[in-house]
Amino acid sequence: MFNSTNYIFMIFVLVSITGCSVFEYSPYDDNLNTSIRNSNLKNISRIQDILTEVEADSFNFAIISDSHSDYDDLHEVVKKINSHSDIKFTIHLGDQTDLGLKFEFENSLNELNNLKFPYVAIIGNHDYLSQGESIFEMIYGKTNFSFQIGTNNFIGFDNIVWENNNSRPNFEWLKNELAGLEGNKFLLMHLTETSNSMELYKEEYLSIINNIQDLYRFHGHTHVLDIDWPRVVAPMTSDRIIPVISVRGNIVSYYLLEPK
Amino acid sequence: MNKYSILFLLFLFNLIISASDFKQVFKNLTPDQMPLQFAGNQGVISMGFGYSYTMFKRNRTTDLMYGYIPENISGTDLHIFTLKNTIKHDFCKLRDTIIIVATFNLNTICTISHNTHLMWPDHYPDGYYFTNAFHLQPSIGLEIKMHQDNHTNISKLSFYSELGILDQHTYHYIKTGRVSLLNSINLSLGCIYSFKNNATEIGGKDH
Repeated sequence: MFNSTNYIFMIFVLVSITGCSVFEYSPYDDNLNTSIRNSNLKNISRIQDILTEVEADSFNFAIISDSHSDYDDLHEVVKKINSHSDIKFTIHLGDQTDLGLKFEFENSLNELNNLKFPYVAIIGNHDYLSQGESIFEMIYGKTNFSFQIGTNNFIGFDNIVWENNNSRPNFEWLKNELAGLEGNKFLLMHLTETSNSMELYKEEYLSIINNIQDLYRFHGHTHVLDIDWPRVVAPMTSDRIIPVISVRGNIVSYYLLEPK
Repeated sequence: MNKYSILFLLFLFNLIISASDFKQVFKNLTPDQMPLQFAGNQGVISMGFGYSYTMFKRNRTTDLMYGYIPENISGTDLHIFTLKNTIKHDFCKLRDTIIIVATFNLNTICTISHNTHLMWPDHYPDGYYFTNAFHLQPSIGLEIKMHQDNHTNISKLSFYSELGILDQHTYHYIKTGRVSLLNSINLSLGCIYSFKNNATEIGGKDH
């Protein structure tokens, strides 16, 4: 004869067996539930396909940054970007996690995958924590990368210092990428040159970008919108202000999507 | 003070608060049980030793466990130390020989790995990050053990399953409505070998 305690016991056993739960070995392992791999490369290819259908030298793209675990805000920002069909792709300038944990990346992916148009992600200092760097590389690909859309050159530069074993950013790679480029150059990275962790490398970085024509720089990290054109620091997504960059041949400008 | 000293002090602190006087601390140092667990954010397999005691009229256990996940499973070597505090409540008896015990656990999980830090390296300014090596995981579970008066080894074995949720999932759930708490629940299975006879433990006794 079953009494109430037996029923509670049976419910517990059933809940356990029917798999509302899973076996988790550690929040720090890299056993991702998502099958998404090398997303940046795939999305860059999609962006190039989309833009060759229209005009590769006339397009808008949005920049967002520092969504951390503010998934509500990221959701709203994604909705806002989707409502502007002239925005052909989005760049996330890093810090899509708090602690670089796998489920934080997956939670962000759940929101970012709702973008109508493709997006490209840059690694942030928080994304480096724990095993974040290798998880980022699994999902998005290399942390230093570049791509071209028509005559526009995009360079995603990993300039994380402290969280990357306190190591110097790969400025040789950056120099090589910038060397001999024609057309607009868009430098995408998380830290600003004024960040504490960039203090040692600020002069070296500035000497590399100095005198480069048509160079536009985009950063995150500070959480506060700061525009000193052609340099833009994107605010954190919770501000719900989205800088949109408009490219019309060699004329590049920006406007802001602000909350109503 | 290194990471391991802090862990040891945490463990010692648990023993001290569980003992009624200081001498009891030394008496308590002989383990009462040996748990072995599969999953539960403590590694693939974790094992260790533990102590049982009664406090505030509740049977409790405190276990210190170690789990390891090799690089080929987790992407990097993970060394996981868990301090598992459990409150036990006799739930029901089945056929007078099996006892079902409800358990309420709070696991403090410390993971030593690449880029997890108890103390941040010197190049970080003070307070730049809070430690990212610790997590708390509350869980509830059921433990099945034999109620036998004889002192056979089988009567000293108990089996349990637990449903737990990591602090970070709870934080995300509270902070944002975009995360499912149900999908964040994890399951673990384990067994405990008690150096005492289970029959003598039922109802608990004060040390």
